[in-house]
Amino acid sequence: MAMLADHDRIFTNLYGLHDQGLKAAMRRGQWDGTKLLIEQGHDWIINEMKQSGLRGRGGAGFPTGLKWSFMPKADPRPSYLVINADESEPGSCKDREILRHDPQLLIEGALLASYAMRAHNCYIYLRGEYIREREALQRAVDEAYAAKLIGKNNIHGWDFELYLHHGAGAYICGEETALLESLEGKKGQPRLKPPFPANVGLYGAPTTINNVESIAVVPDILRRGATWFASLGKPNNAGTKLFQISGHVNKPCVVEEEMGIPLRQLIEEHSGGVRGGWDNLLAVIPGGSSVPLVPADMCHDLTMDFDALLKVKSGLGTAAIIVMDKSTDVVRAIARISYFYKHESCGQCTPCREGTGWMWRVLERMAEGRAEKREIDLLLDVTKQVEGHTICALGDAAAWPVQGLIRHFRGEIEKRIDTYHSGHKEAAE
Amino acid sequence: MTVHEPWSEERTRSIVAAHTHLEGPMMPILHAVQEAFGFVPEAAVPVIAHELNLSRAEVHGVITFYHDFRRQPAGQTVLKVCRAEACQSMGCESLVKHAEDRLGIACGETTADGRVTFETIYCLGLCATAPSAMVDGQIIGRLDTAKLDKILAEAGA
Amino acid sequence: MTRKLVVDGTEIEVEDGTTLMHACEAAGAEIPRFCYHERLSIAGNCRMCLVEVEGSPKPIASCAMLVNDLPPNRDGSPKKIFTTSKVARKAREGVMEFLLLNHPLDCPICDQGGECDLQDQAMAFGLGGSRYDENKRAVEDKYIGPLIKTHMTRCIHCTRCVRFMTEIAGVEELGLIGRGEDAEITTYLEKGILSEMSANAVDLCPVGALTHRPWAHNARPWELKKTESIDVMDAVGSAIRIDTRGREVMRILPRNNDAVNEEWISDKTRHVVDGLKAQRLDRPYVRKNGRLVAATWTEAMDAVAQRLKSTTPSRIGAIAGDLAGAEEMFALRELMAGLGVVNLDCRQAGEALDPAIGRAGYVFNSTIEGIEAADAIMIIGANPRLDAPVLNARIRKRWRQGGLLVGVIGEAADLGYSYNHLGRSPAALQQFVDHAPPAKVRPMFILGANALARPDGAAILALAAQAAHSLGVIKDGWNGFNILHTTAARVAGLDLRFVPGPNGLTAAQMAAGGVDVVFNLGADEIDIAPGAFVIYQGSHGDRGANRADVILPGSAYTEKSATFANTEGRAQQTVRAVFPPGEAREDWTILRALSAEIGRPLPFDTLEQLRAKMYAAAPDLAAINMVRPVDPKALATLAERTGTIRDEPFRSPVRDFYLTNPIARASQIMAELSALRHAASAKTLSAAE
Repeated sequence: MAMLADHDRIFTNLYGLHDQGLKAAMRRGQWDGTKLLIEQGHDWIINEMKQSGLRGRGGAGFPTGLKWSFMPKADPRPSYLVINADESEPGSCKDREILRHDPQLLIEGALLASYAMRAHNCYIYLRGEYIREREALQRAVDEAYAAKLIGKNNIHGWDFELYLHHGAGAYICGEETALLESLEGKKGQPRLKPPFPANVGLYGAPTTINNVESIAVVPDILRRGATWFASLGKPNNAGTKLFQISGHVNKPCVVEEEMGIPLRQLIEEHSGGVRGGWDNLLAVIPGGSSVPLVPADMCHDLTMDFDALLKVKSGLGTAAIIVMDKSTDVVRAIARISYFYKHESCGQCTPCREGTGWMWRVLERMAEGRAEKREIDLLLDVTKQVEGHTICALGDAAAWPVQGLIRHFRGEIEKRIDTYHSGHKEAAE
Repeated sequence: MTVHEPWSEERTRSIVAAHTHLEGPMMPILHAVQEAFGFVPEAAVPVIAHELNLSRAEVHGVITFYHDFRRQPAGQTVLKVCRAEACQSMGCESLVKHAEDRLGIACGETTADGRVTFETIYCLGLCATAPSAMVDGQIIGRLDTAKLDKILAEAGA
Repeated sequence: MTRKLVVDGTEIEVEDGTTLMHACEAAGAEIPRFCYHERLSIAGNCRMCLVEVEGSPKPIASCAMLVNDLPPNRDGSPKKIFTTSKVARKAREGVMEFLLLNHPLDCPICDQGGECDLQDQAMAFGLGGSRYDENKRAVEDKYIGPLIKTHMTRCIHCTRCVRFMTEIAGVEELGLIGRGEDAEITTYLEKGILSEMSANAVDLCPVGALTHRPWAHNARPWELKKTESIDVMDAVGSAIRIDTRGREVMRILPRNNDAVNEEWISDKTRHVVDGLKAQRLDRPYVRKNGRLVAATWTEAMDAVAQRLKSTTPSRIGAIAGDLAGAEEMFALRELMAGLGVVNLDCRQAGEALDPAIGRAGYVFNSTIEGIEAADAIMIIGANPRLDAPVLNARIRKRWRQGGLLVGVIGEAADLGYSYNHLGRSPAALQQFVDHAPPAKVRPMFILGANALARPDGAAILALAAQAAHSLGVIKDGWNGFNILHTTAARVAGLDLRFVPGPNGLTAAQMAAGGVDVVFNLGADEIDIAPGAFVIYQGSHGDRGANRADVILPGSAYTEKSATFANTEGRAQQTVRAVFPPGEAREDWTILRALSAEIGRPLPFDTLEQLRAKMYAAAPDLAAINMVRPVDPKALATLAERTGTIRDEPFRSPVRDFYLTNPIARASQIMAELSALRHAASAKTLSAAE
């Protein structure tokens, strides 16, 4: 597969090599003919988005246009667009680059999306740790207000207010309904669904929550046309995507590429290859810490898209690829991920509150080998008791990495248990 | 290193007043209170609850839910080291150990002289420049022992 | 609209808006739950009620899913629900196992044992053993008040207690702090909860995390005999269950009665139990040489009979107290009538209520349930939170639904909901007398009966009736004119016309020396001036007994079958759970025996005979558990009356919620609560200064 051509690139200032100010952004083609797009009408935009085949970039991959179409068309309540910039999934570091270097893309997208959904108010929820990012974004928002691109009586003819909101250190606030709770000033505990946010969302009003990247690609999709976007990538996995490659590679990076790019190409062409060469690869976590890992032998022909990764029982998630070479203690790595989910469980519902701690404790022992082999199946059973039984997806996110570990590295766990027991037997003798 | 104001109920009230026009003013208020005093003092809870017409238990619950809100003052310098997957794979654990040894405290604690608070953070979204850290809100990529020593020296530890 | 569902193979049809949980139950399935409670908001956090739904990849929490929110089947066939399938069972067992992970296995020393939801459901839906080898979590116990004992390690985070306190009781201190497995239920700064309803949270706790401190390690539920009865601590008439062991009342619990108390009772109703055992009058006494000495029944009856026979009827009077049953009031009335005595009064506080004009003039006409239909409530000279906490919870429930305007004339107390304070004195009512009808459809007045216990009481009542007419409180199809009584005995007393006959004296006049002999039937809130000969019949050694010359020991409400009409006029009967102590007797039998002693035997020998006569005299008391329709014309009569009101502020009649009657005053626990409350309010006062 050829590398993404420069003219198909949406994020033209991903690395901050150019000025991120409004004027420079406009020179790069942003805010070009936005009014014309708005004049096409609410439904045209939603339809274009449906046609483009864009699937949400926050992890779940739900078709963005379809999601927008769930918003009521004639409702006396105000509608809200909420943009999820609570980028907290370990391995994910793409939204930060948009916030810092190409913020006008996001602001323009926010206006277009809000207009499509008949919303006059938009909140961007940034995680607490993104202090500089918020400052950069705020500067960009101020510029857009000053240029009357947004705000009351702006040049686009659709009153539009944009507010930034700052989280305070809770991963769970990336879950869309927890995010709404947090925006309202409460504990970030996910809500029961139904009702869905499109019906009862922020302050009880219709709300759509989208990822930063999903919104930032909207202006280009509308300007260049749904067909252009759909022509990139693979069927059902359209467009370009920001991939983040970290871990045991020579040159970790964030890069925009076509959906469906082979993993190996991505790692070798953009990240300088796996440390010690491709053959030194142990496994990758292809979509952020919550998706099951994929062992090296399944990585050779793997392409990076929703469907291909589902086939190997993993997921594209946020396309945050964590590469692990053969020096990795994979059991300990997953134990750490388990700790993270235990640490971030909101504690509201039983399976997650109790199950995350259980999984972590067992894995900690397994990392040392201080366990019994029968506990591997017990652990697997516990993950199944958490998965699908919780209010939100954090339960699944905590269960999947453990399932991935057992699926692909059961032998490694067993070996470790054997080593531990034989060591202790010798010590006892 | 940051200098904070001493606690004042008056000041808290004016912080709250400056935010009540917002929808969902709670988190902005808590952030502002923390910015002013360096932490969210217990005494601020009834003030905020009263002004926002919320229960004290609710405000208290929110503060304890979000780990960014401190209930005790932090050290003059706050160092947070990322220990999530990408940084772990790039050797953050040995850096944590190094810092702990040098500071004589465990991660999550503040030095006895109040100079440094050392904490874990899970992912700064800086995975491509792992291992990463944050010093008083300033992010630092490609952390190594030399950089760490420099940071700690500047903090006077 | 209704829709069809197939639950475990049974087809049923349910209304839209029904939860999946209720639909399954309607089909006969049993759905376990911990966090769900009908009277609280839905939390959906325990995940115990998961069921399998056809077409859904994940099991669904049935408590939080409405049947109309289920995505329909493509072919339009009814949705299939499985509550006992492998998926549902596995989900449930999983949740059960998680709940037990960190739950201590201290059932043998846990007071919840035997009535613990977790225990029961672990038996019904759990696995036999534990697969958890790690250390269990220990959680520090919290102080959340004198009535609630905490064992927070047992907590399963269902948040029922938090929801009860914030939603029903209107107390803001309780909440969940922290997150994840470190989340804990606690009060803000671990302060005790100041609520008159706090102990209900303990009933709601499905495990032994919250238990009743006064009952700690007292009894096991299975050794208790259960008697369903009625409370008399206020005029609400809450449904209660009295649990006894042998001759002892061990505890009092709420029963459900949607019309009255839903399923709540006040802390006083529940924890007054120790007062039933203290300060009891368990034998007759006669005053000799200035001192009360123990006597036999014969001696006591002789002394009383002689005194009654030798006194002219106009110098004899009878006062009925706050806890008197209708039967004994009726018997006493008949006895006095036989003697030709017209000095009768059941209004020891002096409320200016006149039963002659009709029942509408002295009851809570809208009924308690009617509060939920009101869109405006004016509270006049009452503090419902202290006068009738359970009724106040109903007002709060209505207020939480929104669209309720509340106004208060009287003390500006914390009622647990917001209101407009319209003034302190009855003069504030004047502005409404010629008021244009407001936009509200069902406005309501709640007028404290004790607000009428002042010299201008009758004028206040008339003024309120006038204002009520102009505000549309009384109109075709709606009567929102409500008197809020604070005592259990009062309405039946008024129904029985236990009030002065022609030229008869009032309680105050009798107490002030208007008569030479006072028959005091449990009136402990009134001072009888020196001089008169006082016969006291009652259950507790309190103010009335101290002033008595003869004491006839009667029964407490747990020891007799007696009729009480609550503030709505709803007649209800207590049921005997234990026998009265010592030589004390059921009250009506004492009066029956006395009537024979004075040679004017009352025409009944059994309780049934007495009741038949009583019902003939006061038919409203025959309508057990019901409120008969009330003719509102009494209120028109009231509105025509005139009088001069004084510009004096209303004062709350309940000065100390925990000590309103002789049983409560005998209770050690009530004394402690009272002291704590005083300390807390002193602190608030000093903080305010």
